[in-house]
Amino acid sequence: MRRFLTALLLFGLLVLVLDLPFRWAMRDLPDTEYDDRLHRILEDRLPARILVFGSSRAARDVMPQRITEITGSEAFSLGYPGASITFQEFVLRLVLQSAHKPHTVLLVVDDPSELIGTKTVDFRLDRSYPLAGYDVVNDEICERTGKSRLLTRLLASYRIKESLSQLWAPPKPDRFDTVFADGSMTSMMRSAALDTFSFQAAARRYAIQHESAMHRDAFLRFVQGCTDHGIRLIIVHPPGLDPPTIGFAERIAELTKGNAEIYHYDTTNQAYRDLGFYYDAPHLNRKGARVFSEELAGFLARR
Amino acid sequence: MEFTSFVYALFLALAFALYWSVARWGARAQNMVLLLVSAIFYAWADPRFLGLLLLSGAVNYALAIGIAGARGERAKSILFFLGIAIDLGLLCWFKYFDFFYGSAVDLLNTIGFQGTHSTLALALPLGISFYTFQMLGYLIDTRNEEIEPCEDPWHFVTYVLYFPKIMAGPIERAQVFLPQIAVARTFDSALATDGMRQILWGLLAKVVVADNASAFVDLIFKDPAAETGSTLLVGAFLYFIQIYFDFSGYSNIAIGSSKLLGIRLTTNFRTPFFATGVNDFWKRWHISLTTWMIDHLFTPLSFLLRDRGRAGTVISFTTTFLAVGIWHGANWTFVAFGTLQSLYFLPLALSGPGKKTSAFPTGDRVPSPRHFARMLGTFLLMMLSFVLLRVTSIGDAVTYYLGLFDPSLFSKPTVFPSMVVLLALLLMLVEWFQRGMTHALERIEAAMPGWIRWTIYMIILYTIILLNHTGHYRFIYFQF
Repeated sequence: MRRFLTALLLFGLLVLVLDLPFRWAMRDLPDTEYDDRLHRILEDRLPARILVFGSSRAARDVMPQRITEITGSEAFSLGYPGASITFQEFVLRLVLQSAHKPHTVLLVVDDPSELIGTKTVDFRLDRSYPLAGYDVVNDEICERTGKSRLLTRLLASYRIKESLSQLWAPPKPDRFDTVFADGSMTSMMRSAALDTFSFQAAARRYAIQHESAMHRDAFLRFVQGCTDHGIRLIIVHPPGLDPPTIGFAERIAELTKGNAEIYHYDTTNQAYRDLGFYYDAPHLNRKGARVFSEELAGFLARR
Repeated sequence: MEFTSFVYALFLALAFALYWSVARWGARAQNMVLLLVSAIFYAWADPRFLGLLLLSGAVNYALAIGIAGARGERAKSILFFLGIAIDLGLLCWFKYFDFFYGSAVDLLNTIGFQGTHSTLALALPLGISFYTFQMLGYLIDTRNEEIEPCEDPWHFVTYVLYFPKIMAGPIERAQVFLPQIAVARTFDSALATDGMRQILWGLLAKVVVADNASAFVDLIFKDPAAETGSTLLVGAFLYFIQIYFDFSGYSNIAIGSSKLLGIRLTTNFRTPFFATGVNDFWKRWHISLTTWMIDHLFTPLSFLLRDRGRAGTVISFTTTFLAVGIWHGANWTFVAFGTLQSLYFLPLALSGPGKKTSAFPTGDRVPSPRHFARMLGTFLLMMLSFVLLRVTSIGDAVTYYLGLFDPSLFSKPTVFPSMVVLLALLLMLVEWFQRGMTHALERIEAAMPGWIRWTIYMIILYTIILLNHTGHYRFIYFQF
């Protein structure tokens, strides 16, 4: 028995020794990221007073730089294409734990999928994995994926395995993923889908029964988080070429329970009916984003 | 608490420490520890059915003693059939009621009656197919006077509840298991080390190959109608390797865990991918189930129908394969699986015992062209039949097979996880060279010096750590 246990102990120690290089690599991983926004939050290097949250519509439709210029308050975008409200709520939690808290949060909502789980939006694990060295990020990854929290504490190799390849092949931004200095990801391109686009007269009706409890809860936590920290929360309904879903804005307003202001884009602005201002039907291009951001900044400056 | 979880590793370490620390007080103390940790293990997964399992064990224990002690054949038979009815009744109630009821309603509707579908949607007690067959086998063997009934109720409950095998087998014979726990176990360092190696190999198979394959399998089987023939072929291949590495991985972890406690469990797989015929495959795949079926169903049936010649043989193995199929679950796809296996077996049964295929010698490094062709043929036949264990309806199965034999079979597959295929082939290659062994790392101690062995263990361990699939995939056979 003693021989067996000694061998087992030695084997365990050897595993821990071999894990040491991974522990060192864990520190370097965040630096391999071209999108360092999450890292900046974790390192308390994001002093912006106005933060923009949301998925691709936040990333592409809003230019924080214009908001900064007009309002005088530094704005920054934390919009992540493909990010669901569950991921946005996690990012908000990171922000609220940091030393620099914003005074205003703009949450750009996806009509109609904000509270409905779809294939196009999800928790951005790929953005989280390189930061698994931070306990708060690692715990969230474990929660989402079922990874053993205990084992991640014990073995750095297990903790960072998903993003290890980034050390020798750091990811490069493609033409959609360029993150500008203000955190936005606006684009000057035009989708081929716009060539065959035609305006639809009939709007769909919002279906509450399709809502996912997980997304709805995350949305409610997002609103509550802002309320608890005295942050001014503005729910932003951005422009799009498709008609707004009937009942979606009302549903969002109902869930906020008066704890947020609602801002709906200026439907009388003809720019939003012009295909030249769009990348594709739901997303503005850089020209459109500029118009919309000035409109938003005007709203923020007025109130 | 799954075998692949870190919690299980801690649980096993605690169970190991407790079990061997009471060894000085003899078999009873060791069995009490086994019983305690097994109850915790089962209750951890699903505490609702622990009572049912204990009650079922108590009834079988009492009935077996009753059968052995009864005077006269009639009394023995009454007690025996009562036990069979209770065991099968519970299994049917929990596992098959909705299926039989729904099928009966469908049949009535077809012939003009108006029946309505309503299901009980009962939760399935974990491991019910495995422990029920274990207890059925125990009753049958007692009735046939092949074994003496277990006198010690604690021994018997330990046999039923023993945690390494409770969830998905091996379906252990009482005559193999009970004598091992009747005496005090002394620590065997070589056996425990071999157990650790077997666990390591099982983990590699499960979390690196099976779990990584499962994501692609899910993708392909989700909508077979939308996939090309070549992609469906990849899907069938991936599912076949997934279910093998999943279940053999589970079995290796179960058997390895048991070796740490000084108890040997039945080998459940013997490199089935290298089978040279359908009969050879079933001697190598889920061995504890197939031997159970042969001993308790095929052999008695064959004996009963011995005067009917080949027709008797055909009826016997068809019934046996249907039972194997439906054992897997309550769905017509499982019936179709059993039927297909019977059809595969038909030429062999009709050709007589002289035509049986032979496995090649384990010492050969490279198979002969004839053996290789047989191996490949068997692999493809079984791979295609296992699609029936994955699809959810006969309609889906038809769609899958029609899509598979489509001209698009010769197109480039839209899904091809080269990494998973490479890993699977690598493991198969190792198993090829170790095919005479109970697991792939069994011979390593005698064949290699210590530092090379430890290097291999470390490579395997870090492969498991770095390449395991992030996400949660249960063992496939838990659902059966």
